[in-house]
Amino acid sequence: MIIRLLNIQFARLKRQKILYLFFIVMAVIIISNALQCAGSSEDNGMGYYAGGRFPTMCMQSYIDIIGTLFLSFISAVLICGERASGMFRQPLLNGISRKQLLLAKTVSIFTVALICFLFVIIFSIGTGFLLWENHIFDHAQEYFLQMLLLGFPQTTLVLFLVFLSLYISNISSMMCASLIILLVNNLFSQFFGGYISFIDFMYYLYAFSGYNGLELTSKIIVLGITVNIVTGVILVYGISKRTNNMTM
Amino acid sequence: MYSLTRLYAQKICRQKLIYIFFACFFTASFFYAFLISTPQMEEMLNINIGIVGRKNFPEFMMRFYVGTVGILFNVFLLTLFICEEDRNKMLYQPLLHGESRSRMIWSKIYVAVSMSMIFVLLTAFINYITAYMRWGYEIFDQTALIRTVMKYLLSAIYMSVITLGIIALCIYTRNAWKTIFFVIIYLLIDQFIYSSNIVFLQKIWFGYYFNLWTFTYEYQKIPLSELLIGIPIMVVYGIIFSQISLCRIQKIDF
Repeated sequence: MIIRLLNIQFARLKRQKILYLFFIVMAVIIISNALQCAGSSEDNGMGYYAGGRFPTMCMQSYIDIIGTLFLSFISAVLICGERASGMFRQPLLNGISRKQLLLAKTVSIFTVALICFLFVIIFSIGTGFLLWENHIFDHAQEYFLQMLLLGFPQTTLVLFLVFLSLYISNISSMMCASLIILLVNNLFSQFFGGYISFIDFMYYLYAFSGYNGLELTSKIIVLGITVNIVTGVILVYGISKRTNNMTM
Repeated sequence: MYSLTRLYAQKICRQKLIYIFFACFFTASFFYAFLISTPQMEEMLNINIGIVGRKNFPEFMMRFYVGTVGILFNVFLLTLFICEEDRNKMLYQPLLHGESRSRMIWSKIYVAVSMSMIFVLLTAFINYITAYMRWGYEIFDQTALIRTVMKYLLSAIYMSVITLGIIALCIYTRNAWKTIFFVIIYLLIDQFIYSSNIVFLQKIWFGYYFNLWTFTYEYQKIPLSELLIGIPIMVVYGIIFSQISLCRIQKIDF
């Protein structure tokens, strides 16, 4: 049953033109970043990322605002949009449970997040290879570690967005709320990183991607993984509670 | 005030997200004013407090709103205000009460444009308050004050044109996500045109003049010649956008 439900969700996602437009937009951003990096000197902000650090820069620009807003948008379309149009409860009429439905939606949003993230990494390495040839692999160990670590906050982010979508009734409000949360989080991460690192999973979107020159230490890695797992468990509990109580 | 305009204004004012957003903006401005002075922060944020602090602080903070964030916030609110109403079949309700389509859209335009202007002025007010709390009377340097107030007013004009463009898009697409997507495309094109060397495109692109005023002439006086070209171009775009909205609303099949 759940596989059939997942197939329906994926088929729906495949029809979303915005997904393909997102890839085009990301490709344009990556190429334009690469050209700017190539044309800048080493001591300039952009020049620092030329060569082996270019994929790190692309990961940062994806995580900073575009990627998070895009995932928020996908969650809004799949959950808020369907709830508003009355389509959300349709599968329930065919004997599917609320939990199965939410699980299928969460897995499909997570798959989109994974595909988009991998696209950014692969495309940035490809573009970097064309411009800097083998130098793109100079810091490969660094950015592959960042990539693996970013899997944790991204997974928690997906859970958080699903949780948020269950409480918000339409796409625009969901996007607006996401924008505000992103800005507040960015602000706190910049000024109070030391304190919020104990409670805020989104801080690790920045910390694990080396944002603003943040150094990746073993303490940060362990703390980040722990905070994300704990938050993830709380969010799963929150989602299941809300799923049982909400009016479809 | 015309009753439909008042009704729309009340509807906008009931949006809690606006108050949350500006509370967050005040917090951000407060933190920036009080915390960027430390050497670690200066290094981390790559800024020089000697340049961005005191009298220049309100101008420094202006770019945080009128850049990407303000435009995204506006588009989310306007899609809520137009596309969601359309989807809920509320957009044509005034027509059932004898209002004409053009009066309805003009009311929407008045409210949305006033809202975007008020938001810019509100950010100016917030930034001056936090700057005053941090540096006291040092922020009231006459030349800097006049220059900054003028830049905020110019930003208000730019945001109004953007708002008119978003309204036209909302009415044309009648879809929230398409409108949001086109605005993101606009932001990318705007950056591309500003950083490119295509002079012809720059001359006719209204966003270019705003980038010129905000970034190229940051903490400097804007030459009169740039203003004399930029403002009329923005006004022309504003008129075109409002005419598109007016024409389109006449053809919509509710």
